[in-house]
Amino acid sequence: MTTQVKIGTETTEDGSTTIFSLGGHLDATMVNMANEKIQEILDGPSSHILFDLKDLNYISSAGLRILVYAAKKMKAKNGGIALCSVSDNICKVLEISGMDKFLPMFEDRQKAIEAIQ
Amino acid sequence: MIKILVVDDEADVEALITQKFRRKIKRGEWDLVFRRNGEEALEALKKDPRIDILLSDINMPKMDGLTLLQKVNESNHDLRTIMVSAYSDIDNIRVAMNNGAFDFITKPINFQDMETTIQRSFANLEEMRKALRSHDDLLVLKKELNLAQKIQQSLLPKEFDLHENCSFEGMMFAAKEVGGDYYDLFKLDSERIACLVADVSGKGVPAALFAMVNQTLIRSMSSGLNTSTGDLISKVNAKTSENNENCMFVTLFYTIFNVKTGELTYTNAGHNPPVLIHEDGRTEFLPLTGGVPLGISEGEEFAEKSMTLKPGDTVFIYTDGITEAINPQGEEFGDSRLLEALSANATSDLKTLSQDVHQKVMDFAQGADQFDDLTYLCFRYGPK
Repeated sequence: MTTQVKIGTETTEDGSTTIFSLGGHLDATMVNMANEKIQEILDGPSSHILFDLKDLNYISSAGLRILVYAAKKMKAKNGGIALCSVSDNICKVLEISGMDKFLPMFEDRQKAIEAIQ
Repeated sequence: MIKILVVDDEADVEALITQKFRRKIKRGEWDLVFRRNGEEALEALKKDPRIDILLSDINMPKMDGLTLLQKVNESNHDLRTIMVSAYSDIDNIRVAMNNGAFDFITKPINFQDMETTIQRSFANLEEMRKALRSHDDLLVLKKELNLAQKIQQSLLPKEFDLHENCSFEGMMFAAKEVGGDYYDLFKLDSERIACLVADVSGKGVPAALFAMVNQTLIRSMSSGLNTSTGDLISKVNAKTSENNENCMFVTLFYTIFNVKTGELTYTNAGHNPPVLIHEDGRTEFLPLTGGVPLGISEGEEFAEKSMTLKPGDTVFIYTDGITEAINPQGEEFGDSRLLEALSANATSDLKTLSQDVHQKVMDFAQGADQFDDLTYLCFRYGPK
């Protein structure tokens, strides 16, 4: 079983959006790592974060918390967050928990970036 | 300051060392004490347990250095021993090292080497003391956590004999000492009983604190409740969302169960759907009410649903630690295994039902580390 989380960030050309790839198993022990990275982005110039969840196979409630946290903080910067390439499994978690209401989801990066900008 | 006990039978050693290290002594970096044999040294150690370094000659009258070393070992005195002897005495030096001496220097004494050896030995001793302190702190923390665990467990209702018309059962297993799950069960009046299961984001102490506030809030806001469960949860959510900087949240399923009529009114706040188990073994998930977790959206309005249970119907509320329990292959326990286990226990008493589900989850996990708390709460309509 994989308990590793893969994290990668890149910024769109105009610098307005940071794309945050989250892969693997995002449980309570792995959340700290992601949290630090998010804090960096929050302190940076981007006004939007796009979470690319293509390779994410599990998200715990602690993982959901950091998404909500990022959403709130980015909103305060007049920006926001979006998710893309969300697997059926994760999608189900988001729907049951009602979190889909706060976390707009898009099919892929392209569509998400178009919607954001 | 390093406190050093120097033991040597040669009369001029004291004068020589005091002279060589007079600056260190004057600056208060070293505090030197001199004795002439092992017996005197032991006396000095007894009088002053704060001695950090024992610098001892091997060949001395009355009690030699090796015997002194042995006695010091027996006394559990927290220090580092450095032996002093001639190179030709290497056999004795080896014996001393094998018996716990930390280091040695050779005669005639090279004072530069002596200083380095003392400083290095002291650094090692300090390191050890620091590790011991951390270890002690951890033990205290561990004790406090155990106490917190007892307090948390004691807040979970253990009295399930609430009405002759119905049975209830609940249990919670935390993944760490304390958890962010809880269940609650309390009478609103002679007919209506509030039942709920909650799951706070994250685990451990932060989640446990959040859970405790939430439980208290719900209990106090439920008292004298005549309004709907939706209104109650909306109010609890507003309170929970205030000053929630860290965006912690809690998913929750709250229901008021009328033990006379079998009527059930409930509100769901982002929690996974409870299971309705019919007496004949059929199972279904309760339709949810579309609520979001508490704490993330202040002005949220929560809906409610009502239904009436038939005698023999059981409602099983739980947290996702159960369906998301994993085995060593990384597979989840999942909905279908849960429904199967519940169906098989449709007419078992509720304690048996809960224990059987828990056992099945544990068997499935085959000892794989569980990352989440496991909570079960169920009730059945109809005489026992």
